[in-house]
Amino acid sequence: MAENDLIIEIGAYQLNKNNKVVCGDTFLSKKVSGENRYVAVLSDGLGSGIKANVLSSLTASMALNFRLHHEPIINSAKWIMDTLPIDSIRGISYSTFTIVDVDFEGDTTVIEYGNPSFFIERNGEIVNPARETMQLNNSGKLNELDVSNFNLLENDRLVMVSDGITQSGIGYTDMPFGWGNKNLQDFVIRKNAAPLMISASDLARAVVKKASQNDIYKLQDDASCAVFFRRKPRQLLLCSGPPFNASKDKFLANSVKEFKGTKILCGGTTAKIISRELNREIFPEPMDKMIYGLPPAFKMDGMDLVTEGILTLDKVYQELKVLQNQDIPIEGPAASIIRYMMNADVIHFLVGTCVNVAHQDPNLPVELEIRRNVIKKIIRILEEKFLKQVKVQYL
Amino acid sequence: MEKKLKLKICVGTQCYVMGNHELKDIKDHLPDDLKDKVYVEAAVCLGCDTLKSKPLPPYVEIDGKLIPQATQEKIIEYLYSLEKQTVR
Repeated sequence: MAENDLIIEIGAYQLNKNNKVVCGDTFLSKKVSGENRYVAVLSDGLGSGIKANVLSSLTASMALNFRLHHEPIINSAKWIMDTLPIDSIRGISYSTFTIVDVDFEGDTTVIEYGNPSFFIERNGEIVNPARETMQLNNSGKLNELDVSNFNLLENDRLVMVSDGITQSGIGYTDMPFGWGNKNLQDFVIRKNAAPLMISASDLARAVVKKASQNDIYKLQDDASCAVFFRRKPRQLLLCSGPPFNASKDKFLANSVKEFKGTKILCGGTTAKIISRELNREIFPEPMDKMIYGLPPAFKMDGMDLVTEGILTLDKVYQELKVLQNQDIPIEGPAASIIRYMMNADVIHFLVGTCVNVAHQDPNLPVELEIRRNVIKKIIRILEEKFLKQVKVQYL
Repeated sequence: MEKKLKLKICVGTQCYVMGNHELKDIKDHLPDDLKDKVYVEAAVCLGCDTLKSKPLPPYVEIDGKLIPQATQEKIIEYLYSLEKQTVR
């Protein structure tokens, strides 16, 4: 991927209907690396609870896999409807779906059946792409599928929701017919107008939380929101360790200086090298701000974070290992690093391979590992668990 | 008001694990007569790696003087000795 290629960020958030243990909506997404595209499905099962969850996961996984194998739209929809079990109370088999198929260039196909219609937010305005209706004959009943083809431009956000969002707040005096599509769209525009670019996952979370608020925190239906955001990737540079050869110090300092994006320095010696080469002072932290457990962070002009090296990196690794969602339970320099990592799309590591002889003292705790090994472990987690794009350079 | 003494505590990896993490709240443990005369801050590395001799972490620096194998007692003792000099 070239430096300035746009990426597509996918974020989704769900809340269960009040008092239900599982969510009746399912959101699945998959990256097809060989074909450079993403396929995602949002499905809403009939009813709520376990039954709805089964219906929607069945629908979503079938739709996703049909789409992955380029099955014709009509056939896949028919197969899905034929497969779903018939509800014992209502006597019908039913679940809705929205399939989004978007490639890295932004070419998008959306197939909608039954969900509230998706929309695109572009520069503070709502765009509704043209839709083509397909008829589907399902054992005598006529169903309609909406298919749209369009191009997702830079800074476009594609928003799709389940009906739990648009119908939230129904019956309350201020919104007798629910929140509605119009209010949802206004909310999205307002959220995106904030000076800081809101990420896809934050927007999805905000929409669902707002819906929950509309229902006075007792949702009357499962609520899901998924957002596709096409934008420039956010770059992060993590520089740690002195170069094996001191003649590379200048190169290291220059790479840090020239880098566009967030910059983190991990390591006292590293910080001193950069400080010396770029002639920038390291500002100390007053001692009373220090948080127990890790050496404190420092400040340097142009750097977003300057921390101690190996202990902090080891803590980052330990926390990344157990991190389940975006809510980081700890505070301090390690937590700041994790926060920066979670916000970035492309993470560059600039690793000096000079081994600190002083750290090989057997009196020191085992956490003092060789830097390269800890970073290797962090990289593996970032790539496999958090699906980040990672680039490493050893000096 | 007289100038405050600057107490720099090294929080480089080795100094940190060898004992300086215990010095983080040294300000609370200083005797009352010293408390207001000292300003405490953290430092990246005080440069013990450039010394000729074998390094003896943890290091602290008081008014430009490097103190090896620092402990709370050692720091307080040194601060008092500085006090005496200035009085004289």
